[in-house]
Amino acid sequence: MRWFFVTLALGSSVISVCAGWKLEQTRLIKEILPTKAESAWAEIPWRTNLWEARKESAKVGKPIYLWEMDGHPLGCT
Amino acid sequence: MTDRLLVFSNPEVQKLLKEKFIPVAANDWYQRRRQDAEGEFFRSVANQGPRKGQGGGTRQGHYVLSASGTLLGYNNNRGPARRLKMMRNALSLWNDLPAKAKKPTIPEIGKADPKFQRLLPSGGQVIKAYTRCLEMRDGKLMAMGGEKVGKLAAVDHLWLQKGEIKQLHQLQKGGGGPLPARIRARILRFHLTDSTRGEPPHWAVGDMKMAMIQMNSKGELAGGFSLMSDVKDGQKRSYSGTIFGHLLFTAEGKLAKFELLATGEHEGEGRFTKGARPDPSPLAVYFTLSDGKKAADQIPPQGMHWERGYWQAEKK
Repeated sequence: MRWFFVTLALGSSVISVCAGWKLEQTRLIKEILPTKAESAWAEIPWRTNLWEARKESAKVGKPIYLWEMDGHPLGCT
Repeated sequence: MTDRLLVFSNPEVQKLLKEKFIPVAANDWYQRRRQDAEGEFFRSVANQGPRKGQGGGTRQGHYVLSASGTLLGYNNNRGPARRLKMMRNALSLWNDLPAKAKKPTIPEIGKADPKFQRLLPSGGQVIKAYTRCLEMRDGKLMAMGGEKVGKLAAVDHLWLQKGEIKQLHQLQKGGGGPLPARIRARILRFHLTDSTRGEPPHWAVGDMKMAMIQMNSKGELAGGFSLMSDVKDGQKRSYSGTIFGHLLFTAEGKLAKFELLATGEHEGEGRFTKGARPDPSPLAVYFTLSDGKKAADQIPPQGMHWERGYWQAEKK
């Protein structure tokens, strides 16, 4: 409950004065977003369709690397 | 999560994957179940390795295969050295394959199994949802430092249907009011979860002890939430806090902006998210609109494993 009132106070001024984020909220959003180091894996050109990858593999002559997880590896896993 | 940081951020792994392989990522929950050509193909490859999915079990891991379906390597270790070794061994086996096996004719896929295919409905929009465990340092909420478990940001997607976006637009034009129950429940039950250590359990309808999100005539959102599960496996889960944001619409009534920030204190863990901090601790989820153009942005929400529950989130 303590948390609720602290952050309600933080947010209530936003709702009344502007349509964007306050400075503190902008800072918090930056804390939440993945850092550059955390996002490095996404520089790999992952495909998401195994059947299309088969076609591409057959066309260009490269093997398929399949990253298979419970929960999508590019999403919530 | 660990793979992302330890293995796929490794420059040598990245170089090899970009130059020598066709990299694909897939959700085993669907792949091992789907009864169609792709499911059969995947299982025929996995059955050549150690994870045969007996009793419907997981086949997750890292596979190298040919387009013709020959398994060339498998590994489920999270160290870059062993992964690189597996990849190089697999490349060596690939080089020894006859030309015909490397470049087979691949037929069209045929009809996909609708039970295990999830597509964003026409006119729907994708919102990225980032989750991060936070801690208080120097009087400020910050990302967890050090090498703590669950310190990485997690990502998921919130899907909204065309009709739901229209409802939101009409709500704003009508002067505002509570968010439609279905959208509010979807956000809370399937997205205000601690997904930082793996696939989280979702909240049941009865877990929403308080769920209030109001929109005003400017499209600004404010509210609070209190989620609390029954005690399971000797432990309860809870997440309480506040939610703020703002929406903008195009002249055609599509979302031009969807910004939402939920902050609060989370406690507890699920079967696949062990290692939670012992006490209620800060957790935040930030939602922002995506154009859905990148392959990674088209991944269905994790909650879509249970399709009806996700779309009709307000129902028990």
